[in-house]
Amino acid sequence: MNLVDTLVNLLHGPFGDQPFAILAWQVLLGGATYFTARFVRGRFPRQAAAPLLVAGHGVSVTMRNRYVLLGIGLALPLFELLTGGYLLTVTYSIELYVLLAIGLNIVVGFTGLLDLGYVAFFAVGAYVYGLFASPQLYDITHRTLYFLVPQTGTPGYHISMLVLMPVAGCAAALFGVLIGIPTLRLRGDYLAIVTLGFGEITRIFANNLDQPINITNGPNGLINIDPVWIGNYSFGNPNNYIGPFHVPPFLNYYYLVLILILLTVFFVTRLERSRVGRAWAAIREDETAAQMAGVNTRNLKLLAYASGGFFGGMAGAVYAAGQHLIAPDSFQLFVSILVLCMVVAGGMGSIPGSVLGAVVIGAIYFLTTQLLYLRILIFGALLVILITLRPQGFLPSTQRAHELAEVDQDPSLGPPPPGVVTA
Amino acid sequence: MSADKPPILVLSSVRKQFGGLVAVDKLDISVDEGEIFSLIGPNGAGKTTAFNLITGLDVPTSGTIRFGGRVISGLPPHRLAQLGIARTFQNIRLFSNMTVLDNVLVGRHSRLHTPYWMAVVRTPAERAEEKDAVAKARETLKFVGLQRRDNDLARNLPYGSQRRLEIARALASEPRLLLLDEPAAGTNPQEKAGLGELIRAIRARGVTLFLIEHDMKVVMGISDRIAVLDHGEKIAEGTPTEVRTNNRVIEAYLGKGA
Repeated sequence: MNLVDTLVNLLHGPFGDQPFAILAWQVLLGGATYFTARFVRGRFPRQAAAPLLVAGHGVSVTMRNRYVLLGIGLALPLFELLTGGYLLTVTYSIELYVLLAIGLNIVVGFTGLLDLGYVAFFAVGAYVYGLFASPQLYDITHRTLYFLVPQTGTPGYHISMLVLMPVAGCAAALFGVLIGIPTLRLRGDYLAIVTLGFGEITRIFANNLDQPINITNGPNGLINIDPVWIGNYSFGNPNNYIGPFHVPPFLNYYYLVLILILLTVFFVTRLERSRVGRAWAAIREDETAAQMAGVNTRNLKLLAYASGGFFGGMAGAVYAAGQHLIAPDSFQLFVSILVLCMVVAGGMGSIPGSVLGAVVIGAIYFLTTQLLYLRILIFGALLVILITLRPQGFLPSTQRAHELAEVDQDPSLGPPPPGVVTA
Repeated sequence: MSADKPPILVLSSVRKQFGGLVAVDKLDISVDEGEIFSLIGPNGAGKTTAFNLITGLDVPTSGTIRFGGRVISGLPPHRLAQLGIARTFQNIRLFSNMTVLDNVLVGRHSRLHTPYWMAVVRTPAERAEEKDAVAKARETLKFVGLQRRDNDLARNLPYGSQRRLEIARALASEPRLLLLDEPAAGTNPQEKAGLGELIRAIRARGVTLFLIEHDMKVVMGISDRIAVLDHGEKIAEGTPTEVRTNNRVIEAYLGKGA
């Protein structure tokens, strides 16, 4: 009996195929997990957290050495090529999630707006690229505007990624502003529910927008999307050679996204350390006081949505190019949840944290594919353990670390200063 | 009360109603430039509501508020900060998980004008402005007596220093009018004496002060003029001596027959 069977048996309990009994059994399992976690937390919080803390410290030293990190980033796919192509595609997927996590961190971590619909930006970016770099849009114009469009040549507009990436980013940013306007007055749980709704609306819209005019091609999605190409060099060509070296498609995409990540980190870090970043943090801490201090909270919240959306949209465009096809099913709510998990696990409001969170959670998620639906269970259990042992995330921003220090006397943060009086 | 200068803040027959509750009614207040003006009254008299109306957090049901001759009722708070109104809150509202310096720098937000994108490119103009902002913020912190705590988190300051930090954040926007909502609440006698000095020093910088305060020692010691609010209406106004001997004021505080 292999691991999967063992876990399936564990999950179904002795109840065979009676759905309600299985459900009850799983609730019981969940409860047991929860109380075990509480027990562990109550009994051995420090001892149990120690390895995590040491690891976290080690990683944080590494994360702060940008050249080491860049070296790892550049060399990583070359090692993976030796083990066959699969690991490379996984790494590339994780990279896209890194980009998404950094973007969502602007909204959730910096500004404190809980967004559960982040996948919408990813979808908008992907569809913008998909429409302009596949035969789809051409087909529409061909049929409806046949008298305006020349009827010759290969079908499709086939616009370059260099043009479409900023366009996709801007479209997603605009979409962020559109979502932002009606939610300006909402906070916390209410905001989370509304953004969740917008995320789902986007997916369902894409699912149904094959009528009256077929724009998104409905549930079948867009096919034959161009790969990224520069001049004669196509990223999607499986027979690319640079000198004697074979360059598989995902190696191209890996380095493309790596460049995007570097640019994004640069951009976001500078924003964070400017008056914009301070104003975002002020909104997160106390919106009314921020307003009184002269912060235009409306504009800055919209700017946060737009910036977060921009990076999500760019990631979406690259995703569409790499996959060659996109369908509404690629933009499920679960993507939003996964990215949020990455931001929270890494440490909200911290850029190195978002990167590390995306790498760790992404690795766990993609490397447990063989466990099928069980991976969600394992995933959940790991998150429970993580939040129990290190609630501030792997690499918390200094602010968040202190925020949580009061709740959990973490040994790494030292004792609370004496004489703290709260109003 | 100089006759040659027009008053900096004028409330004329301001009324604020929350559903059936009239929080403030027929309120006329005129604050002269450069004076220390206090608003006192029993709990629930509508003092904080009056502050919220002046600072744009609430919009008056009727009546107008003028600041420097300009009608400001209905403007959003960040616009008022730009025009030169700053305030502190009754229950301290600092950005508790930001550093002391960052708190003051946020207070300076309305005086920073380089466009947002410049922060990414870090143009010379943006860098100069940031440098200047930090220098001014440090100066303000020194002024309120909070030097050498720049990098502490605001929440780790002792209570009295948190009050001072809130004042520093308000001063960072270089206001013409500073509203302090119960600055002496919860402080010890020593801190109260220091607070009086600080308020006078702020006035000496050319800032007009408008206070809500419960501590009579503080109010009577520093105010030029005092207005008394009861059940949303102004029942008296005048110098500390006039207000102290006013029968309606005594009645409002101690009840009839006192």
